[in-house]
Amino acid sequence: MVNNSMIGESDFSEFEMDRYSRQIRIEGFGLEGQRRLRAASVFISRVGGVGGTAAMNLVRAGVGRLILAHGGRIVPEYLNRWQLINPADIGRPSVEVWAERLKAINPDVEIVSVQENVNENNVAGLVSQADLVIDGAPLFEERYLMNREAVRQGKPICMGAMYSTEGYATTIIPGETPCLSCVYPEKPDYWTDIKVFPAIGPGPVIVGTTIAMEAIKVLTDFGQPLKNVLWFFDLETNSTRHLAIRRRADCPICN
Amino acid sequence: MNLTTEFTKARDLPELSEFEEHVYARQLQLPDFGMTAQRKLKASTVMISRVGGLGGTVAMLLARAGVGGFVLAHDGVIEHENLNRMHLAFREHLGKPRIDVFRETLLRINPDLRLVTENKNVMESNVCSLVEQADIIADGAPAFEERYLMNREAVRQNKPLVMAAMFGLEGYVTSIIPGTTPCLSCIYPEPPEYWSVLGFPVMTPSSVLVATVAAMEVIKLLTGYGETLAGKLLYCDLSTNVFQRMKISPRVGCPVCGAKGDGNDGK
Repeated sequence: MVNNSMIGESDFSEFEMDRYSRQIRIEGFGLEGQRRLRAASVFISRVGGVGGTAAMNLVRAGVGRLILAHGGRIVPEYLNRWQLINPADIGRPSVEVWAERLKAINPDVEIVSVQENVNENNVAGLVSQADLVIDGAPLFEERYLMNREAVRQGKPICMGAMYSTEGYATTIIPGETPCLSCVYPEKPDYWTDIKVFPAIGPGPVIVGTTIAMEAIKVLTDFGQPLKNVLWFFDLETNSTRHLAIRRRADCPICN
Repeated sequence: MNLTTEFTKARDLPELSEFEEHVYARQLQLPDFGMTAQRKLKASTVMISRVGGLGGTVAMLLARAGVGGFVLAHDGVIEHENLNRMHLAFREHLGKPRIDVFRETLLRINPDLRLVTENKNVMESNVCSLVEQADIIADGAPAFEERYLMNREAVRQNKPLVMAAMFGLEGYVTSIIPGTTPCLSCIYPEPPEYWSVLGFPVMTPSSVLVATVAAMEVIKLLTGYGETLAGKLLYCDLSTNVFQRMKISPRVGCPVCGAKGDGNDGK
């Protein structure tokens, strides 16, 4: 436990102290938690329903720097679940709108935006700029790529996925917990076409919010992250499960 | 349990515009949801007491999901320390009346919303007319006095009430159906001694999580979709991701809802 009085407050502005006052008083988080969060750089792959919600939460909470990667433009069918976009944004590049809106929430956060999804050419450079990765990509191909690169660079990944009203989250610490390839050695057969999966706002928001909290836990050494656990939530019934997951001895990625 | 949605069933449900059909395309694909549910949301009006970290997030989620109307009550102006959790408020809004800011942000999400706004919190003089204008209530007020008042009025007018509360990284949600489930006074006959209103610790992921469960409750109660938290109190702790659903029963002789009860005599 960190004693707040032992840490100088001078490096936070009066505005920041005021802004974060309600969370600085959370037991076990404190000013040191806030300082660690401000010092952190997080890379978010896809700022849609899941990743965008994570970004929104982290910017409110006071993360220092976000790197956002997302290709494409805003279309009407995003409006039901992307929490910071409006009808007036239709047709604009997705990542540009997110960066603008996140800045409007908290101009003290540094935002780096990349107008493409994660691919073989950009993944190493993007991951190298961050202390931690948040993965909200819907495609297994993108997730495997991110998993491989984060494991290679030894960076934690907070992963969140959803389908309909169901959500999943886990925190991957390379060398300590299973990686995505341990859990899913191959892409599941049922995972087919990303264009058709059903989604209502609360689904991705539950997942994006949970993995934002996971990122805060890992970055500030606070609470109990979902290590070695795959967390499942179904909003249709509000049932939850903690599924134990293990490293695979012959995993070609993390062993 | 699934509530049959008496308050929208009898109404002529509005059609969706072509644009709305695009906006809600993904949720129209949810199994057992569909176009009738979407039209019910459009026809509905939700009263939200305190539109802050909890209530404001409920409003944001419901506006995106297609709820057509809101009655919003919240006093005061946007302060620095609101910005860590009030998702309808941006830095440029500092010092502006909260209710005007919430109205502006919600209308950006959906310019066609029907909005009634009250620049005051819920109190004896306004609670009756605010509740009258809505089909259902979501309560995000931090003070027990305000919640008791809302509970009493919702029970009196026989309107469903979704209660959401939080402290630190912990949250609670339940749905109160007058005459069927326990009311707030059944669960808490008196305010708990540990409850302090001002300055309680809060971090955005926990308030959003609780608000999201509450928003989904409102959607379920309005449309008949899924399983609600009627008769159950959901507890969650985001520091460990522990979630529990506790069964709750009406209190025999409750002075507010007059529950006949089935065994919870307060002992």
